Amino acid sequence: MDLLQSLPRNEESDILRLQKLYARFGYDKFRMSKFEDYALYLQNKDFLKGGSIITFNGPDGRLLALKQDITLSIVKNAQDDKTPCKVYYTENVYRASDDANDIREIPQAGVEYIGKVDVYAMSEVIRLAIESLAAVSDRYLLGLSHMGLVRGLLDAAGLSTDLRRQIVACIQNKAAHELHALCKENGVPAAVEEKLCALSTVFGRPEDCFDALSELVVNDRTADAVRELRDIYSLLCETGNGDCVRIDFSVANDMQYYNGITFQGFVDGTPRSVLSGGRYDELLRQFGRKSGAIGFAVYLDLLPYSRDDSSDSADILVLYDPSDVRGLAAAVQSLQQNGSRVRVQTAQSDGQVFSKVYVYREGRLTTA
Amino acid sequence: MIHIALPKGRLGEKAYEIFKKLGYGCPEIEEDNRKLIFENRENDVCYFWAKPSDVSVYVERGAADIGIVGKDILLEHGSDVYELLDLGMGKCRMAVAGIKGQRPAADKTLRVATKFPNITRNYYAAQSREIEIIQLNGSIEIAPLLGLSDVIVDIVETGTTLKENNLEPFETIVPISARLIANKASFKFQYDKIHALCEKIQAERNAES
Repeated sequence: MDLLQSLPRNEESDILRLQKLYARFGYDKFRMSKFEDYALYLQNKDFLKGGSIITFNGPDGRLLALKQDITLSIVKNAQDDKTPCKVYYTENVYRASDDANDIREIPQAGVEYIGKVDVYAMSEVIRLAIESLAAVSDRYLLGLSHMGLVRGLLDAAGLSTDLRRQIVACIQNKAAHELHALCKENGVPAAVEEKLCALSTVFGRPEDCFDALSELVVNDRTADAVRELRDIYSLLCETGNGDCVRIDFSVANDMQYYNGITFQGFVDGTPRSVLSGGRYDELLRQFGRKSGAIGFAVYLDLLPYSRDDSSDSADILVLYDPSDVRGLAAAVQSLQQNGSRVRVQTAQSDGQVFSKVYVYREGRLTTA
Repeated sequence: MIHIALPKGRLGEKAYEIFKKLGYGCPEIEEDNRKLIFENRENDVCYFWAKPSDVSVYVERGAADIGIVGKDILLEHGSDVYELLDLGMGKCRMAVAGIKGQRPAADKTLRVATKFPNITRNYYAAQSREIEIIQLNGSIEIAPLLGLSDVIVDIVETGTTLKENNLEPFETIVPISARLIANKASFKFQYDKIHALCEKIQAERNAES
């Protein structure tokens, strides 16, 4: 029996499950210091999602930050090698809320693939994303989109940067009525508007959506995107990972960094996405690298763990009198021998619940 | 079961009437009782009333799967929810208003009284206009009359209150109406139910127009 499967579901055991999953696919563990140059975050502040950076001065006067993001640190160190960089991490990141009244330590796990990205590499990373969701929940879905289709449609229409940003926001919010109004207001041709609205509302199993997506093809970029979605989905189905996939362009991501497939994972019991990832070749270009890249992060702080912490507390309580401790240690040891968790103290406080309570008196344990 | 957050007041009551007409009725909610949550297992729905400005919070955090909320609240709070439909109800507009015939000079910092600081900030930032926001929680119209502000940013429905107080709308910021919003995870896990509900509402709206 797999010991990991039998562990109660909590943050620690989920981290172990994810580490084992990523290692099984030959990804190397990436470790990093808690600190990073502030300049790295400042230069890529649009890539960072929410939260202020916590800064301090290093001994040499350099401005440092508590690490807020892992991907940037991995990308910074990646080289354009023939063999890809395949790494995983389980690290804490640190963020201050925007009003800076609240500083949080957030556990994250993730995978990054940097190198020549082909269909197999993409499907492997998405498969890892799906299996990550399966490792932490029994009911989960992965929303899949492709920035190539979004960008291809916007390119074909020749729209301004600001309008493109507003259109992507409407697609992300599934607000077809707002998109319609925006297109009317800005004189976007009706044929383009119709396609953009279709993109904002399409949702479902890939095999049910591919025909609708094919109708959105207007140029090479959009054709490549639809072909890539089909190819990836077909590979996911080969390994039995296709059932939870939904085509959903509301998971489209920032156009400045993401250029290909993007995805988000949802688990039952959490009201927002717990996993987010995609193809981010554009980020590598900003670091002067020629390689491609794809990866994702799992936000472990958002997982719906049971609030029942009884599994963490002791099974047996032994009450004793400090003036009568001869033989107590041996008695406790004998109780522990069958695997019970034994807590020893002089009095029981309200709210402490144990399956058994003993009193130690004059060399004997008696039931309280 | 679909959990629905309704805004207390006329808008919520009108929205419930639409849900009822489309087969999502819940007799409990129509009774005169002190219950807070109303469930109808037969129609697979559960309703609750919320303060209008809180509806998007309940939906964003998954306490409700869908909700009815004014566009003003969505713009002000920037909620991370799907905005699935414009219900075309509760139509009004977010506008800049001030004392009739006294448009403030453009060469000084504009003092703006409002309940909507984020909408106000974004509107004037887009115009590169320097402003001072005076945040109030009600009776906004009184601010320019007492010299507290140069203008107000507020919801204008018919404009009667403005007119009766010698005020007038200067500019429209954005048209407002009620929206049907959905939680991003609920939408995916309960797609068939939420999609069917939206289709029915859309069909009803199309038939009306």
